[in-house]
Amino acid sequence: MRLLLIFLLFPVLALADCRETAVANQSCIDTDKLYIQLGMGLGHRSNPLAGGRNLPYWLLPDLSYYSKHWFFDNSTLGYSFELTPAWQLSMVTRLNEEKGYFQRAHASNLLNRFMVSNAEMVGPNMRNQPRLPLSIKDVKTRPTALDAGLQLDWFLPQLQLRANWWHDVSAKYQGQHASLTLQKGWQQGQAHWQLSSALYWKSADLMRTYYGVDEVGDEMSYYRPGDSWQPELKLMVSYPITQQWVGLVFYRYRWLDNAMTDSPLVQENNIRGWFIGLSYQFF
Amino acid sequence: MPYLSLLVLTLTAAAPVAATALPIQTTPQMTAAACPETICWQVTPQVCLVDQQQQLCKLELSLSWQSQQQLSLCVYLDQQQLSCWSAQRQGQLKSAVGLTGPAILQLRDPKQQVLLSQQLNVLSRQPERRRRLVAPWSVF
Repeated sequence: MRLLLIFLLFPVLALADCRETAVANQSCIDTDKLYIQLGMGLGHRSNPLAGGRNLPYWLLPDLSYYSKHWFFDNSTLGYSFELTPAWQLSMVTRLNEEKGYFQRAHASNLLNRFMVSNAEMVGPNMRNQPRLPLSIKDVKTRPTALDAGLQLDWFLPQLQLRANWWHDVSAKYQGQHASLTLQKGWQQGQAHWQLSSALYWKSADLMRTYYGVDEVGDEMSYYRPGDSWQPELKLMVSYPITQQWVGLVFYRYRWLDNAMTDSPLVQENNIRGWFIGLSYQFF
Repeated sequence: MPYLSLLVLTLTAAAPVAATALPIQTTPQMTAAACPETICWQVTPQVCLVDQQQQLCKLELSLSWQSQQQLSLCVYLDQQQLSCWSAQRQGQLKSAVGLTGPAILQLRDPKQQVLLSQQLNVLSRQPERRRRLVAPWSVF
C-alpha cells in the first residue's frame, strides 16, 4: 500500500524538452561544459549496518559533463540516444553502491573520500548500546563491483520518470538491481522544490553477497534473502542567492524491507540522509 | 583554369564569417557569357545566425541565375515556390524569408526536375543543451 501511494502522487502532463523555458533552468545544462559545484554545510547519511558508521556530509560535490551523446554525472558514465525529444535511452555504468555501507573510504564514495571527517561518527543505535554480536567487522570484505545497464528517461514539464536496470559485469555478486524514479519540480518564488519518489529492486544474489553471513557459521544460517524492494522519498529545496551561491536543503528516507532487515548485519529498517547548507558553482 | 576556380572556391569557403546574415557565395561572380555550365547561380546569404536555439531567423534572400540558353524554371524554398521565369536566359530575386532550421533552395524546370540546389543553414550563438540524466547531489 505504501508503494502504491508513493507512485500515485504525480500527474501526467504534456511533453517538454530543454527548449521550453519552464524546465530549462533547473534540469538543463549546456553541453561540452564542465559543471562543478560544492555544497558546504551540515548533514549525514545514516548507515543501517551494525558497526557501520554514518557518513557525514560537510562537503558535498556535484560534478557533471555532457556532450552530445556521452555524459559523466556524479560517478555515472553513459552514452545516450535521443529516441524523441521526450524520451532518452542510455547505456550506463558505475560502481555498485552497496559496498559503501561497509566502509567509508570506498570508491563508490570516491567523491567524498577527501572530504569526509576523520572524527568518529557512530550511528545513533550504537551510541549507548553494548557491542552487538555481529557487525560488519566480523565478516569478510565485500567485493567492489562494476555495474552496467540501461536507463530510460521520460521528460515531461516539471516531471521526470526514470527507469534503471543494472547488471554486475564484474561477476562479483552475479546479480541485478533496478529502480523506478518519479521526480517532480516546481518553482515557488525564488525557491525551486523537487520531490522524488523511487522504488529500488535488488536481486537475491546481490542481497546474499553483501548482506548474507554464511561465512560466520550455522547459527546465522536462518538468513536466506530473497529479492529486496526498497521505496524511497526525497525532498530538496534550492534557493539562489547569487549566480554562484545557492542555499540548499534536502532530506531522503528509504524504507528497508525484511529481505534486508532480516540480515544479522542490519540493525535499522531505514536509511536517512539530510543536508543543509550552501552550494557554490565553480564552473 | 578549372583548378584555379577550385582554389578560389576553397579560399572563399574558408573565409571567416561574423555577421548576422552571412553573404557567402558558392561561385565567383559570373556573367551569362562566363557561365561554364548550362545554368549558374549566386545565392546570398547561405548561413543565418540567431541568438537562441529555435529562434526565427529573418533574412533578405538574394538570388540571380544565368544560362546560355532560354529556360523556364521556378525557385523553391523547401516546397514553397518563390518565383518563376518563362523562356529567360537570366533572372533575379530578392525575397524576405524566415527560417527556424535548415532549408533547401532549388531551381526546378517545369517537370519538377532539380537543376540547382543549395542548403541554407541556421546557426545559433546559444550552445546545445541537454537534460541531466542523474539527479544532482546524488553522490549519496
